[in-house]
Amino acid sequence: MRKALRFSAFGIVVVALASCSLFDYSNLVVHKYALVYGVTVYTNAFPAGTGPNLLYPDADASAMASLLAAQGYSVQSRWVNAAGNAITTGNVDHGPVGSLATSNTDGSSPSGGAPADAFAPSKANIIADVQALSGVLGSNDILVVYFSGHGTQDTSTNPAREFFDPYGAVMQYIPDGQYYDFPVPSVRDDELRSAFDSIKTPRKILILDTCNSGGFIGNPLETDWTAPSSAGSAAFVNPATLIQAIANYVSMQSSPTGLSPYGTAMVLSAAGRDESSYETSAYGHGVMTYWLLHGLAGPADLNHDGHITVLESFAYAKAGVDQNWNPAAGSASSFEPHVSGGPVDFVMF
Amino acid sequence: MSAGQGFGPKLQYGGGFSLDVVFPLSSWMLLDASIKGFTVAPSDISGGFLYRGYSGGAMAVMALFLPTVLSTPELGVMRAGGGAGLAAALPSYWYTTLAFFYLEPRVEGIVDWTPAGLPALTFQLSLPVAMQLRRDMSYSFSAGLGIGVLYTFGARR
Repeated sequence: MRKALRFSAFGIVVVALASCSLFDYSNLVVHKYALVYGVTVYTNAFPAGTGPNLLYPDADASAMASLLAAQGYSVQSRWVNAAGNAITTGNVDHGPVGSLATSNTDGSSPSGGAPADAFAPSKANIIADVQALSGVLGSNDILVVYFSGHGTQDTSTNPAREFFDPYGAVMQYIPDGQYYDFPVPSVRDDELRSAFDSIKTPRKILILDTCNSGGFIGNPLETDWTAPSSAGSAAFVNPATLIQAIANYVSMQSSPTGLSPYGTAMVLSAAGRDESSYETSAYGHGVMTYWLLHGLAGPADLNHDGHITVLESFAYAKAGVDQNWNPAAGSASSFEPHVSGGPVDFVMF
Repeated sequence: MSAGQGFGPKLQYGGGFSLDVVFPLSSWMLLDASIKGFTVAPSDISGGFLYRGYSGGAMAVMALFLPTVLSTPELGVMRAGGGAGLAAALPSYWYTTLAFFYLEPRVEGIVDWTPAGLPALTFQLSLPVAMQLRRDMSYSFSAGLGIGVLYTFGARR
């Protein structure tokens, strides 16, 4: 009986010890920065919603910038709005962007630019914006980079590469008159990875509301049992998941594509690597962004602790897409948001 | 307690249930094979970061060394000792469909008691300590309190 009592006492000691704030980091000062981009109009040869142009990325970017600024982030933004104008931080309107065209298959040396192109969310400007923060962010600061627009995948290479399409990446190919997204002016996953690596904080979050954006996730360890192209989440871990997880544990190789969650960036993607994402007039936004914004306004605080983490915002947005968009969209237009692995989560708000 | 690469240590709380099959190898040595379901809650958010919560399953094999320390007709049999073994775990992070794998060496101190009037039942208290050999963290280990009941098939009064 005395031995049983002794073990009971030890249990209380363990609980009391674990309840102490042994590792309290509340004195850390975290500065919050955000870069927000959207491209509604890729060419002023067509109005918004026609040709290669979209309808709502500027609304996505504008709402995201406002929300982040209201939560204390220092926000820099660039977007091309539905009127085809380049807008920068503080809603400064720089006038209409151009109607770019190229004769080169890689999209180099385009013609048809406009003065406002210098302010647009082009590849050069986005990479420069990221790199400019390398001397600004401290090791405990947090950086959110958001982009809404087109995205694509190049399966002609091995491994396949993912891109998102800033302004200038989608243009007319002069020999056939058709519009394509071109690799040189697009932002490739490894190009963004290099830019991110210049920023010393590991607290980097990339949010992409584009097609194929799941390809920006480069998990060397985790196995995602939601398929890269799916019409709904998988229900269970299957044997292939187990085998792949063990293989990843043994090799722990750097993912050949995408951004590693271990220091480079945590990625929240609208869609899987091999699928499209959508925007809708019913929301006036990209579908994933709509639910992300909705959640970040408060409901994504799933554990009611007064803060919203990246995983909570992902879970809320994914549930919004799963429960509200996918059932009506059908299998052809269903998609699934994805998120990076890694053991760490970050407080966004 | 966990510490990620580039981040400091934090505490996480968790719990689980296991179903064990115990094979007696001698009067004081046993082989324990188990399957376990477990969950680990996220850490606190101080400093603007937290370690993700995760839940999953594990399989473990342990060697137990439990010599009898007390045996009386009134009280029954009390054994005390320990065990050591290895588990393989496949959890996934909360809110995600991201599964990962790790190995977990574990040791535990054990005391158990088989009451005189209930020879088929053994009540067990254990103090497990485990090291999660996670390749995505600088270190991760856990300590806790285990409570168990063993049913012995074919036990005689």
